Amino acid sequence: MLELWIERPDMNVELLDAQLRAIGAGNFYGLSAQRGGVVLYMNDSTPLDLQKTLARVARQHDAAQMTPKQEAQAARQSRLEQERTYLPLDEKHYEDSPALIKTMAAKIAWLEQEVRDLRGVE
Amino acid sequence: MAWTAPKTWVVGEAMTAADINAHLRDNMLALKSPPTALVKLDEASDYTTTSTVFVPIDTSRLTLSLITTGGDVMIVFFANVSHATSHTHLDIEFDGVMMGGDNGLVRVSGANFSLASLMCLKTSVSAGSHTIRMMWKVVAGTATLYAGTTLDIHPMFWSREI
Repeated sequence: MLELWIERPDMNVELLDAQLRAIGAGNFYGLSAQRGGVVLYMNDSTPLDLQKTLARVARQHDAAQMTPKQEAQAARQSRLEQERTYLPLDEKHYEDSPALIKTMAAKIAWLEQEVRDLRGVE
Repeated sequence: MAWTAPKTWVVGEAMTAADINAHLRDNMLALKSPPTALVKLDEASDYTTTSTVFVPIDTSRLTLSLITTGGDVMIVFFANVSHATSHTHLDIEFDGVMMGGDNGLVRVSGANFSLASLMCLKTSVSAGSHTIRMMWKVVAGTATLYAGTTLDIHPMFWSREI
């Protein structure tokens, strides 16, 4: 197994792994982050050109970017944070309701959002 | 203090200071302080891997060098690991050979700091120098091993001839 050590203090491990797997296909086994660097693992028959390409991608990797899954998760978190202060409650349904019912409806709407977040439901 | 195979005395043989020192004193000292190697992690960052084949958790830090007198060796490792979506496999490499083989010695699952603990016995180890490394892999996704940063806890990896 070939190991390539590249010094870089920060990285988005999931994104870098996805980028390298897209290029390395069956040659790239994965990566490990340790002590301010990343180790790329690939099989012994990986062509030199591919080794160089994988190393270059790892060096040029932008740790601030996210995978589509991470972006979706961040968007969901952001929405949840907003909804924690502004609840998605259609208040006109409760215009004639007592204050206690309004409060309970707001609490239920808040709980619904939290449960959806825990379950990963959009 | 090195171990010496105990001498067999014969009837009428004189007990010399050299023999008593070598076969009683020195062997007792050897039993009291057997060959031991220990690593305790306190790192500036935790470890992660996405490798689907076994690779060292740390290419240099989690490697034990043990000079044995020949016999059995006990190996212990414990740490906390997390994997949000899949499983982490752990194995021990002894002189380049995986002790578990296949998918390793243990599999750890869970996203919330699961305990990864191993205690193994390597039998009939020859006298001499040996290298022991902690290895891990994932089925898919990313595994994290906490080594002094996120949780400020400190995994240990040690071995001793017994």
